[in-house]
Amino acid sequence: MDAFVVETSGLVKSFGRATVLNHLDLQVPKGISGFIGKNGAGKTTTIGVLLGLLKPNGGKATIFGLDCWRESFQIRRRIGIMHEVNAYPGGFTAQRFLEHVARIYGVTQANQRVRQVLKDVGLSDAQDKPIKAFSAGMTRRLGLAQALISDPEFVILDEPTANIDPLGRVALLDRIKEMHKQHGTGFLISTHILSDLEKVCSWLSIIDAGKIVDQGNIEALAEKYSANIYKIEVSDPQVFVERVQMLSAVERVWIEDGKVYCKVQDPAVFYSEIPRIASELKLQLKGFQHMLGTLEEIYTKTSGGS
Amino acid sequence: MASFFSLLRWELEEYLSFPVLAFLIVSAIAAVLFQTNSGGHITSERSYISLFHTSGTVFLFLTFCAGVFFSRSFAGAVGKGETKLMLSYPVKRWQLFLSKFTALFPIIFVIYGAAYALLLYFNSISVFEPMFFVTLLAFLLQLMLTCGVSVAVAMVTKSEIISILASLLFLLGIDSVGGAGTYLSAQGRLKFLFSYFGDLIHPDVPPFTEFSATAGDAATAVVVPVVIFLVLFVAAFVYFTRFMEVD
Repeated sequence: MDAFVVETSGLVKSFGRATVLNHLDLQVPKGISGFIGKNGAGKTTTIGVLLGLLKPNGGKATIFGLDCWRESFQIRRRIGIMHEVNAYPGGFTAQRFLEHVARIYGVTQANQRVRQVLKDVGLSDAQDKPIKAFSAGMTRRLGLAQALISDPEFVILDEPTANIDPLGRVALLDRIKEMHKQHGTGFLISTHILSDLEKVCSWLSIIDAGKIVDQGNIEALAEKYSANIYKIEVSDPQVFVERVQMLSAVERVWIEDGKVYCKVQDPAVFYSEIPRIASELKLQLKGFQHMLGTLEEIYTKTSGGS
Repeated sequence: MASFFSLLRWELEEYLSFPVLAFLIVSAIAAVLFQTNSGGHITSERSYISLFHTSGTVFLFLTFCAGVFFSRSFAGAVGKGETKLMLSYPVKRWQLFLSKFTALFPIIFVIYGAAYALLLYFNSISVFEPMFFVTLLAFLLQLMLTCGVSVAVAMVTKSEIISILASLLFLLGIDSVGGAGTYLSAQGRLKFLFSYFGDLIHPDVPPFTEFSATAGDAATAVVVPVVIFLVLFVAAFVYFTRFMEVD
């Protein structure tokens, strides 16, 4: 595993008596990672601590190995951020706003960079339009543009697809994927919309009540939280199903699109029995695949079904 | 320092762009014209003393405008999430704080000072009249006091509307309660300064027959708002740069 870009250990953040982050141990590698949790789980507070906007009450938070509170300035020079709440100056045009941001980052040839980023996020046609006239989707894309203006190593996106229509969401996520592919930019996407992450992420951290309940490579988590469903392709599904139903290791069997699906109680027994049954019935075993758990299954199991 | 000047340009463009700047200028001119038209005795005197009598509305408008602008820039920016956005960029907190102050303070002062200079024309007073600069000093002190109070209240409330109301009620309340007899009220300070410097510069035409201020009174009239400004401003600065959490 690569070194983690973002790492927190035992991170605690309280507001008065309310503890929002309760010994949070977050690890985020370079790549596109998802940070998922229900509303109020502590995602935005974690981002606040990572950016040095909130001072932790305990524990440690680092990005690139730099302390998030004491070395926040150095961190912010290397990352981009898109907040959940749009606070962009409505009277500015997109071009003017991004020029200001570029100058703050000390971007050389700011005008050229602004044009490039606007093109990258698909806002070239709207560069002279005041931000207050932007639609929700355009504003989110502008948020992505300002996060990318300095060509950062790592970008944190807080609810990037909030309030935008399904097509806009797909387009935005495609852009993120493209950025990662073209420039190797790392992304941490904080969201409560599971389907968004399924499309782009390779790593997932799940937060619930201020704690990381699980995190890891998406495939590994899918394996871990899979519902033990197997897909089998055989030459005669009907004959095969009648025989498989008799196995005590199998909970349920059904046919869908000519393929046999089995929900299994004892995978070890099931694995050894299937080839034997196929052979016994003289059926051709064309495919045998473990169906990995969906993000929804992972999330439901880790977050207690809430 | 590049970031500081970038922030300064941002603040100027955002808070003092066309309609807002126009409003500021018009309000300053209106304050001067309103007072000129309402005071019957002003045109008859035709002397530096008219500067004292015509300052009341200007102090009121200045306090109101400065209170609103500082509250918008400091508390409003926190409430709207602008401060959070800015502090997510590679910006040092002191740069953001001072850029807000630097963008607003001199411009408000220059606009009101320039508008007030119209009175020199209306009253046929020389532009080099020293008492004009004494009046400007009183405006500067009032602006400092308004700035200190508004910024400090903004840091506590982090709400634009509460900050505007609280600071204006406080400042205008002092003026209303204290009248012209206290160093804390705008008219009071101007009275002490006008009396002392008027006696000194124009001994032949004393500004007040019944009242005479000493050098100590004039010094106190300057020191009190400056100290209040410094204490509140430094406290707000330290809080913003060292302790404030942006949620």
